[in-house]
Amino acid sequence: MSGGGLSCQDLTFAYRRARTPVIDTLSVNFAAGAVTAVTGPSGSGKSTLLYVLSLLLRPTAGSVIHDGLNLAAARDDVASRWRAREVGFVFQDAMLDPARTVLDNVCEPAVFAGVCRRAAERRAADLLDRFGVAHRADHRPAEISGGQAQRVGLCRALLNSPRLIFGDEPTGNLDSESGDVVWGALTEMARDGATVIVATHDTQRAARCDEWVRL
Amino acid sequence: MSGILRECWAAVRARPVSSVTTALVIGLVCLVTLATTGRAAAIEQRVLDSVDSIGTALITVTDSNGSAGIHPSVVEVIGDLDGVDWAFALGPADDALPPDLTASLDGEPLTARSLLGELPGEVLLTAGRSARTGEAVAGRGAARSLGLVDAVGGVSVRGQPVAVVGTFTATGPLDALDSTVLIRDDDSAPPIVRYVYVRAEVGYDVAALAEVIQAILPAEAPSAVTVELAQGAIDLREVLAGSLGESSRQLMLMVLGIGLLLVAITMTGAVNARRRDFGRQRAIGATRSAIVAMVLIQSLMSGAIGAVVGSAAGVAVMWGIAGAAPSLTFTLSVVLLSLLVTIVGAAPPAIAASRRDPVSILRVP
Ligand SMILES: Nc1ncnc2c1ncn2[C@@H]1O[C@H](COP(=O)(O)OP(=O)(O)OP(=O)(O)O)[C@@H](O)[C@H]1O
Ligand SMILES: [Mg+2]
Repeated sequence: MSGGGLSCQDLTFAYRRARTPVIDTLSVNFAAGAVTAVTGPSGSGKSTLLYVLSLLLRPTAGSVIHDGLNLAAARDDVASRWRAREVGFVFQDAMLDPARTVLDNVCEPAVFAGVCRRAAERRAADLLDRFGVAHRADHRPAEISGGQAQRVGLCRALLNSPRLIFGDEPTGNLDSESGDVVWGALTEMARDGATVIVATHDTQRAARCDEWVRL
Repeated sequence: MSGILRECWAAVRARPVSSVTTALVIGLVCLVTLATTGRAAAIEQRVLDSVDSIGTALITVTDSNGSAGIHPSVVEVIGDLDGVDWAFALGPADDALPPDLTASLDGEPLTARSLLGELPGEVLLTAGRSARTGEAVAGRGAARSLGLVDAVGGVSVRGQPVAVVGTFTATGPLDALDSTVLIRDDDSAPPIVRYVYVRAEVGYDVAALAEVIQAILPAEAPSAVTVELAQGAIDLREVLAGSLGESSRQLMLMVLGIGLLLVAITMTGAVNARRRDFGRQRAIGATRSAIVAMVLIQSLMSGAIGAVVGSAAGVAVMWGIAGAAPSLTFTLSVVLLSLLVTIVGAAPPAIAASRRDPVSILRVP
């Protein structure tokens, strides 16, 4: 299963001042077109795994393979451009820029992917509409609810139609209804061919995902 | 690239406080630079002008014992030379006595000399009119000694009465003329020339001009004349120009240095306040160089606004203080230097922002 998916081989990662690695020789295939849940107790390394797979942290050993290429030792600018083009990240806390409007926030990844503003705005309007926050496009993050902010964060992650989507407890702060919206969207992205990897504490959700990795 | 520029401009507007602070710092740098250095430059020019008025541009041709036989055409010949502002000539000294011979002169005896050519602007007619053929004008000191009423009266020279029709004040290097009576001789007696005063045009090489004058002087015995420059004043001018330029350059460097420090502090503060933004941007695909570029462009945008406003204010202040605006070149170089200061001051925080670990930022809620 390598059709555009992401995989890791003997992946090991240790924080610089830590004695034991957080991730120890982990080998997983994250299939394209599937939602993979990553669960484990607090401190087991779920967030760390997502950061390493998205090359924000570099593996101590092992490989991260996307499209048949090992990116583990890619140069920083190569990794950054790869993230801009191929990766969408949904954080637990929406991580919006409080000084900018909802629309500007959703359009932000277009700048780094070299997508023109006009096209980005059109796509952003579609996404905001799809997640029911279009009427908030001109508001600042401080003027919208937490659930709405998380949907805006999801719109931003999807702006460049990434083939890899990482979610770090994307529904951790949400009520079940908003959680359903986010899970629904992630599942839909997977059906469209994306590789979706979600760290979560919600084992019921994890059980319903296509794949389940326990740390 | 235009996407980055657009994003930067939006970010500048979205954070008015840090943008305005940067603009203010750069604006102040321009204002202070122009108001101090520009002012120093203007004062410098004034000092040099006053040194020049002592006579750096004045050339004096003297026939001290009257044996050179300088031809009266000398005024026209020299006046036609390149680089000559004006030239006039004076004849030998005669005693000037009050027309009423019974009246005695108090103080020094007065000197009368014949005048060839037009008196320059440094010799200002303060009363009456200028002399026609056969008439005379008196310096202020001479007029006082002669007891002239309303600048008009008479004087006796070589036993002949001469009408005095005006009074003048001589300033600068010509102030010695204040105690003389200048007579415009009639054509019957061709005037004898003992002194020729020549002023070089501003910026002209005075020493070279003096050599030319020596070479072409219409005289029977040109070697008998002495051609003098105010060498002391010329030397003084060179020393002053050097040291004044030095001091205003140091002042400017100091202002720019302080500006550099302030920009660095401002930008470090602004960048620290925005660490979350940079962490997020790195996570969604910004390269390190994109972060550096954005911080630099944003500070340049704020800085440019400050530079334009600050320079305009600086030019206005200078106009108010010195009554003269600094040159366009000077103003533009101040603007460019201040933008350079912005880049250099913003570079360290920009690089620091790009090298910060995004994960440690993302972890902080
Ligand atoms: N910078 C660091 N240096 C050393 N150790 C770290 C650092 N950051 C995290 N850790 C440790 O790495 C381990 C994994 O952390 P991580 O955040 O990946 O866990 P997690 O599974 O996401 O936990 P949670 O469910 O609470 O989010 C933890 O034990 C944590 O203390
Ligand atoms: Mg975590």
